[in-house]
Amino acid sequence: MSVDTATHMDAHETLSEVGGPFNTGYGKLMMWYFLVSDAFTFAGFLISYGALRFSSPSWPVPDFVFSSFPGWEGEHPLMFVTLMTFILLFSSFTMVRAVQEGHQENQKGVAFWMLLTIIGGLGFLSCQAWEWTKLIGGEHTTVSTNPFGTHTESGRYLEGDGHGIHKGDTFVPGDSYLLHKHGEDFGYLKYEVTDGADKGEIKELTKGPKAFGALFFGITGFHGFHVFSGILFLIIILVNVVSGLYAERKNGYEMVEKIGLYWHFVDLVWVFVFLVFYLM
Amino acid sequence: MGHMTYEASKKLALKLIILLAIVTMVEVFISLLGKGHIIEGLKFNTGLIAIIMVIFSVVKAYFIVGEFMHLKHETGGMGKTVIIPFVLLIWGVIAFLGDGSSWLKNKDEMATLSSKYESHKTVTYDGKDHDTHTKTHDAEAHDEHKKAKHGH
Repeated sequence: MSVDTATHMDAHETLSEVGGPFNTGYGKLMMWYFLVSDAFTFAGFLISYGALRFSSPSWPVPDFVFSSFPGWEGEHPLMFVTLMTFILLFSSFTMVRAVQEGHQENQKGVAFWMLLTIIGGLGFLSCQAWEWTKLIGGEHTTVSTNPFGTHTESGRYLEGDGHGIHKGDTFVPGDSYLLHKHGEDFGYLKYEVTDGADKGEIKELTKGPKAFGALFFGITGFHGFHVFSGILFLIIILVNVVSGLYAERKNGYEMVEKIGLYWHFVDLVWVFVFLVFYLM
Repeated sequence: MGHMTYEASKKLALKLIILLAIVTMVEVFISLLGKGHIIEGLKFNTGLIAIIMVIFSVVKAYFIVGEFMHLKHETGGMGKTVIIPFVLLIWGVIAFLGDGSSWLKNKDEMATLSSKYESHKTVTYDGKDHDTHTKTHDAEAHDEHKKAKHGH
């Protein structure tokens, strides 16, 4: 190493040299507590989602709503969101490598692994954008309109919808349906109830629980906003790394560590959003 | 990872990401299995799926927070000041999933109860408050009678 060891912290002496509460640098400690506060915000959203979702018998089933994959015909439940999870997890790994290169004061290594992290983040955002486009443009879901629903009684369709449903098709409670838009409004298919208290009645499909759109776009949007701002900060810090700014500093590449914490938090939130929205 | 050698740290990071990827694949497999997508007709209890999924996600969170974010290796009680709120939040989310389910059960019970009540209802309402009117009228008549009788 060509750096002057008197003015730069050796990676292994970091802890004892820093001082302060918990022997952690001010910036790192404050980043942790910001992340704790952010966790409270996300937890609040997930709590409202969880409570509403399980209290509603006609909530759309995730495997039905999220079963498209770009370029792959047919129904592939949860495959695309699993890919998104892998992309974000991998970008967390590249971030760890960037921080490790920082401890070795390897400027080029830090820049390389941070670049991969940014690419991973952009990949995730692109996937999320595709998902949103499919729902908004393709299925006409909005924050107040939800064409996805789940049947709560058994029945037989009296008309087809020109897509997957034909006249005479039957369904049981728990089966999902999607209203298709024909012109101005959705096609509310008529069906006859074949079991239970309303047996024999002719009913029409209705839109699903209104809260679905608001919660889905709100929570994934809020998370996506975190990914976006994370990418912006990563780019700024990458530029600083390349310019040699951190090689001059007493605390070395600690800034890379701090943005690493933020990035891992974004990944961690996604783990729980993935769990609550898609797996359960 | 701060006290390990560079080579050992790299190896550990690689091991962890492979572990996280495997846990994710198992999670998705079990979720799809429990909803009948892999074996036709097979269906797990919703609560069972929820518990298994939560356990897997907590395992992932443990490795992300402890190793990737290095919290396990921080000095003093700093780790605790972060972990305790996180754990309580996760408990909160789980608790409200259960709350939602019990609201659903309550809705079902209320629907059953009110449909039983409906069959006994024969109420018609003409807008007048009959009971009070009669009572006042009787009370007035009683007072009048008393006055007439006792002269005060």
